[in-house]
Amino acid sequence: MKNRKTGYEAPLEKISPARKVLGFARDNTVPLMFILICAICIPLSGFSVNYLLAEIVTRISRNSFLILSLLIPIMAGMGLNFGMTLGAMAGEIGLILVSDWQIWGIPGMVLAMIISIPISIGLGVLCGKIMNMAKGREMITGYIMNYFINGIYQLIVLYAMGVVIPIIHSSIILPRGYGIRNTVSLLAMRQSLDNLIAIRINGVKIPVMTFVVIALLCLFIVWFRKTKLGQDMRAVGQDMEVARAAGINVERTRIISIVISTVLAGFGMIIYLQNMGNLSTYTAHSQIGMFCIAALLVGGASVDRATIGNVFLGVTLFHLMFIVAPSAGTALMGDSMIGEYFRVFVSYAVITLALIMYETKKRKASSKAARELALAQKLEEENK
Amino acid sequence: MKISRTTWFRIAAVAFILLLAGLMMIIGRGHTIYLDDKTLEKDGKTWQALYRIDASVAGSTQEPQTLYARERVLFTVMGQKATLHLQYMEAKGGDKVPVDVSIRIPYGMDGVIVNLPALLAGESQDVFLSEFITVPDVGDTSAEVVVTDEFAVTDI
Repeated sequence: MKNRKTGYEAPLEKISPARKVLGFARDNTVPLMFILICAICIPLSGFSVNYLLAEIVTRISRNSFLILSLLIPIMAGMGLNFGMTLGAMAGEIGLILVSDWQIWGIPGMVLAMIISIPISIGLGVLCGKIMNMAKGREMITGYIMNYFINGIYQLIVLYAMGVVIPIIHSSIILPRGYGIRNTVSLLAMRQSLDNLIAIRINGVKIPVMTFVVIALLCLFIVWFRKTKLGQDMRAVGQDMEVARAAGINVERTRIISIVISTVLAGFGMIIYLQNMGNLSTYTAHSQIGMFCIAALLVGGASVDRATIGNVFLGVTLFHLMFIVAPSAGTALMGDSMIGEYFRVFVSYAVITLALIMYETKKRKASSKAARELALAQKLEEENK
Repeated sequence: MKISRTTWFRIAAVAFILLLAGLMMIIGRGHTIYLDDKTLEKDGKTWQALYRIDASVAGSTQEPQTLYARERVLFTVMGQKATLHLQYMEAKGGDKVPVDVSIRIPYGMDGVIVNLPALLAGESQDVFLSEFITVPDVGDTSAEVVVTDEFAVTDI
């Protein structure tokens, strides 16, 4: 077997089926753990299959677009983009303005998306530039960037809107005359995309149009990977120095990946909120990055590798746990809050576990590569 | 200065997005139509309320509604044109007369009141249409406490 880094051909070793299973389990610890949790919790929750299916379909349609927005930065080696929250904020600003202008339904969603584009691009460029200054520490940088931009978002929404940015409707503006209310109703566009083409199978509502939009994004990602820019991103993701030596503008490529992710996150947030039907002005975006990243990791993705399949498996397992945990908690302990605590704890735990596993794998791989290199050098010396 | 093909594409893309935004603002503008079956007095003329009117709006997902004298119903519509399907009965036990009327709603008005007796009498829009003005909430200004961050740094 030829090692990609050393070029050294190691003798082929026969792997036993037991080791194969063990290797598969080690590589898919998080999804397997979640399958196990769900397998225990589903019977305890007492929910019918139809109810679970309906809930899962709704949540896949609501969250997939947001989670898919995380794939491109991973491709560019920038890890899990906690900065997607910036895009979510841009989407929310678009929705607030559109609600005040009374643009309803699908046109309202499209207009909110258009408004979010320049804001997302600006924030994405800022985020990308800062991440370029902190190479190798992109995730923590993105996470802290959220707090920084959240402060600016609050400044704009709480003080500038109604004073600098005209907001006229009393249902949106705070009674004091400026600032946006805690909750903005999106009733006029609630589920307008979901209901555009919707079919019912066995009582389960399938929002066909939302799935078409998600499918289009999947196709875009598949196509994008094959483009010159996509190939550049993969090269940058594999090795920045090699990519630079090959003539790729590494910094620019990384910024573009973050910009694309931020813009898509803005769109995703609008799709998410149209399904919910209301916008929690100051908190809707705060946990969205965390939950999307957790869902992606539950699907078997890692910091440096994620596929479209990981997104759908992750969103299914993660949200299945979300649905059944409170009822399972009630059945076990007589208190639904146990389930609530459990699912929050699991969200954070899965990110921690995935990060630990990623670091462990990386260290193992580098020490294995070093050992193989040493062996290759030794063999070379012996041959001389 | 020669403009490159890429620049032309970028200009075209921006123009397309702006056009799309403009189009969305026009076709997606929502209005609330309040249909009144009330006696209207204007410029010395009077239009008496009708006994019963069945109303629906073309393109609206809302069910048709029935209103009797001195009643009001509301419909929500998108765009600046609304076609009303009306069926009115002037007095109890009278014949039902079907009428389809199209009205133009001014872009700047969120809500409009349409006085049906005046509309059915064939009066101009200035007579039967007026703006519905919402009275702003001037209650307790401290009623809504804004919660921005549950993890905010506090004095410890």
